[in-house]
Amino acid sequence: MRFVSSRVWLTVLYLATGGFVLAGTMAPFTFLVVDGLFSPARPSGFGQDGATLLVLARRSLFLAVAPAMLATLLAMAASSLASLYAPFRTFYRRWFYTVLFTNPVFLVLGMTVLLNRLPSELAVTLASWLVLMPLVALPIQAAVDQAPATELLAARSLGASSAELVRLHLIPAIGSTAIAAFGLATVFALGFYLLPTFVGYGHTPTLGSAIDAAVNRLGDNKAAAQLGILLVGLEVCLCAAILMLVAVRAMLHRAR
Amino acid sequence: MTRMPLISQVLSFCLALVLTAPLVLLALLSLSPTTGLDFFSDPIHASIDWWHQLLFEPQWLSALTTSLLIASLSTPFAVVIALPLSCRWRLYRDKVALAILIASATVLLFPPVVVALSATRLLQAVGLFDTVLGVAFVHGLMSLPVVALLFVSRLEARPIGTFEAARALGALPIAAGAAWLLAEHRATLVGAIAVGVLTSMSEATVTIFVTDTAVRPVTREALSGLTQDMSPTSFAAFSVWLLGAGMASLFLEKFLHRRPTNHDSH
Repeated sequence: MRFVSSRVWLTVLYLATGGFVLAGTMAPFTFLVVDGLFSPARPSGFGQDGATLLVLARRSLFLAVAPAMLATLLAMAASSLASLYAPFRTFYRRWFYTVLFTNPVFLVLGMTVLLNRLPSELAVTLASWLVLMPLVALPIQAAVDQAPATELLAARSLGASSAELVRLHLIPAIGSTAIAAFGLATVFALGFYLLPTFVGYGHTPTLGSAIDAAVNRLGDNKAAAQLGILLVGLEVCLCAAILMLVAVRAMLHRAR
Repeated sequence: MTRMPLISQVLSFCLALVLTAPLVLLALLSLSPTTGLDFFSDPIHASIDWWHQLLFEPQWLSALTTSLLIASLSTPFAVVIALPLSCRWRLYRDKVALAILIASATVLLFPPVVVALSATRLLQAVGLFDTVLGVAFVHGLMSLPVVALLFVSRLEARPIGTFEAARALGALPIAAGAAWLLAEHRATLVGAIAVGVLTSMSEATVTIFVTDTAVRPVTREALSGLTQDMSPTSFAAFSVWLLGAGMASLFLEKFLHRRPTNHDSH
């Protein structure tokens, strides 16, 4: 009897929390679809012709992929250095945990000052890189920590240099994680609108900043929802490409 | 661990410099004597006026109180959902609990601006737009996967001997689980609460969308300040305070993690 009642309680708990979590995370997105596809248009003067959208999408993609790539490469370099050099490892871990604990939006201000003399696209790329860095660093560092220590020690005792150790053993071991981290960072960066607005001084409008403008300045929910759907579409294409890359890498690895 | 060549040491130093430069700049900016973003024009006349203003100006105090109120509602929301589910996964390998935790991360799979837009429409539809409760709900949803990730990874790292012993001695699952958490995971509990509060207090992307004039948390106040030239340097002071709080909670968590428990001493 006690067993049955505990099973019932558990089921109720699961239905309540699961339903709440799913409703909380998924319900908002139905508004995106309803607003974007079915609500009546509201003329706001917000330019949405094909050419404008293409420019916005291309710039958004560039300003997401470039900093994500930069962050992934630097996180791989930093994690490799951290695995070989103890003082740097201590510093690096503390740095990315601190920045991760406090939302990197606070770096926006510092970077607005630091980068205000650079061309706006370059400034936004560099600022986005720094914001993405802890997000990418965490999984890559975890993958480095889990790299087979015996293999690294064996390679070292057989005379491999530090560079060879990193190139031939560490990087292949963390490759898939690095690709996944790159994908996650790119998706995250696709939705940035504060950095293009503040660091780029509004000279680099992206899909994110266009959504911000449509909602907060023009009150045009339909246009914003359509741009949001475009952004999600871009994200899906990007994720598909990254998944294909991971699959091809796994196939090549198996063939070898 | 081997001794690194000079080139790698120089590289490490340069990388450390690049990573810390914006944080240091932010700290310097909070000591600027002017309201603008031009600390370097007059670095000699540093002042702590902005730190003072942050603590005594009613506008900032009100924003800080609002942020703390929102965090105090959203953090329990995230912890109360994530903690039992993470414990179920760790103690019983319950796949349903894990599935719910993974589902909670759905919100992280979309670009933040899309989440912000969708959340705005949801809150408008249910009449919670620009209310403390609405913002706390959205912040709770965003903190939930972060807190869950912390719980799952930390609970996995420690043995469950205390729980099994308590169960063998006849304790109820909840009592045994609570004893295990208090014996082994005080640091994790503190860390999860700190992560929840800091995530909520520093969330800006969605906050700007789901608030207007009635609810003005500190991030909204600060970013409005940037565009309206109110006092961005106060924002710098607040940012440094928050970064300091983040570092302090890291050290506190580490301290609690290392401190031997009663269970260890026996």
